[in-house]
Amino acid sequence: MFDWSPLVLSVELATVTTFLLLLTGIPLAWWLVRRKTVVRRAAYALVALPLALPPTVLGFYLLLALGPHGPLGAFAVRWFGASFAFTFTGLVIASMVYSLPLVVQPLTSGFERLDAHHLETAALLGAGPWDRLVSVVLPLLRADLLTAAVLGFIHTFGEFGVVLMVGGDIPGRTRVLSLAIYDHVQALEYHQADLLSAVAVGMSFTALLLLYLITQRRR
Amino acid sequence: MLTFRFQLRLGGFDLDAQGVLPAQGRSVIFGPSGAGKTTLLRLMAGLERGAQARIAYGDELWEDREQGVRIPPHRRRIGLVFQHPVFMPGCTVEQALRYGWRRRLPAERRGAFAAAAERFGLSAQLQRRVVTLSGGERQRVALLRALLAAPRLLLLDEPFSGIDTELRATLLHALEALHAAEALPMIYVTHSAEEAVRFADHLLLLEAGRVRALGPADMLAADISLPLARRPDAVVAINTKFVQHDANDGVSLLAFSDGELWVTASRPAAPGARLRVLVHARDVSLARTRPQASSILNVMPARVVALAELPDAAVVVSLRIGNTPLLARVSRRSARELELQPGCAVYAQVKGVALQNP
Repeated sequence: MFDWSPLVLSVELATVTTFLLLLTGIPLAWWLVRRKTVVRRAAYALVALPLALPPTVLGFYLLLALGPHGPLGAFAVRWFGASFAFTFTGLVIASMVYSLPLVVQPLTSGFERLDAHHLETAALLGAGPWDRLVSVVLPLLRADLLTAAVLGFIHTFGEFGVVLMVGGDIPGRTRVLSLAIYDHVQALEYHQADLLSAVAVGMSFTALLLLYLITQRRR
Repeated sequence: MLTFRFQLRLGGFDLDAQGVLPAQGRSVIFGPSGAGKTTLLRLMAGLERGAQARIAYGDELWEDREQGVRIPPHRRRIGLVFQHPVFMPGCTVEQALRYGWRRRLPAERRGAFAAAAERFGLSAQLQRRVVTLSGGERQRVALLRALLAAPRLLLLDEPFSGIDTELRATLLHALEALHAAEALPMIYVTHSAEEAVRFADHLLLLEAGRVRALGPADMLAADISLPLARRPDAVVAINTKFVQHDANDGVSLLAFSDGELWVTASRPAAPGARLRVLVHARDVSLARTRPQASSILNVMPARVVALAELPDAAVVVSLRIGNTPLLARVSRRSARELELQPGCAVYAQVKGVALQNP
């Protein structure tokens, strides 16, 4: 019986990460574009940093942060009795950092293109800030939200270095698709590696194809 | 009462304006392009940040930088119609109209939705997409959308400037009727002198970010120390009441506080209807003695208040018929030959066909 658990784990990880990234990325992108202060430009650079760093560097520092002596890990030890290192939660946190720029970038460019008149009109018609977010911003940014979600998903789905450092490749718990493929190749199990790789290619291509079909049609 | 004081620096532009506008009637902010009219309106609505602002509407303090008070736009209950209104892509007329309507408590709403759409001639268009409408229809949707959100003050930023003259007159008419029906205070921004004088009870003249003058429109329009009266198309408005109509000759008699005017009109107005008649300075001629057997329908005794030379060999004369201000634009030669002086008595003549019965 072929072991599909790495695929399931990868899909789970990418789904949870994307969902949480959209929740945090929307307010973050909104805050980043609203006023161009030095602090926000620095924050912008910080958000983009994971793109520039080798995943192993990022993974190394995340491992330190999530481990029992790191700030996040110490917090986890106090409240949950164990650190986040080598856990699914740890993977989610690490993936959020890793994929953050790919989610925030389409959102900030969407917010920058947003015509302020739409928001002003809504405000004067009695819509408060949250109301405007739901009734104006999100509908106008549908294509950008979709782009952010798809990019966040496939970027998380395909990561290797960070999950290796933070997750530790524990079968059934943190062995995601990319790690499983690597292990199969190391063990010369080319057939298994091929199966998983083909699925990865198929899924990513389908996601991108849908994204382009939907966003191109609307323009 | 809308009391405001704004100081704002935007790039090279600097606005420093203060004043008091009545919380009833129609106020017009008039000024040349770049005077800061739109910015002033946006400051009133609370849409501009970074200003030294203090604004109070009645006893409600909307914004005071020093006290740290700032009521956000969505809680000011202001309607604003932009010059180029925006609509959500793909939305229908009904969706656009219901956006503000849904956000009001039933007790705050005025009248019924269907009746309002009917009155604006939009009943048949409710399911159409806004993008398929003409400019005039879209502007009507924007206006009704603002009204359905039950504002206590309506701001209009050159709402009809992109629309052809004829339709514009119809829309202005609708706005005037609306104002009469709902007693909704309005502040209207325009760079058209005629529109300003026609629409305004109160006038705020804005120049290079400063309030040049603020006061009753009839006084300001006829004040020759201000630029409005010196324009070639200078015009004053006279508030009149319809008296009678002569169908044979196609003229109507209108009464104002200090006299009567005959105007050409194809139809009689409703009995007792209030009409605002525009009298252009170039359509008023002057005589020292009462002319006999003239084609001119309106000859009224008037007093010269002041006169000013204009660059193009013309003289603008500020007159009073009783207390009603009037302007006459005559040639320099006529002014000299008639020996016009402040205080002298003249007869102001206005052709009936020159008067627009709005």
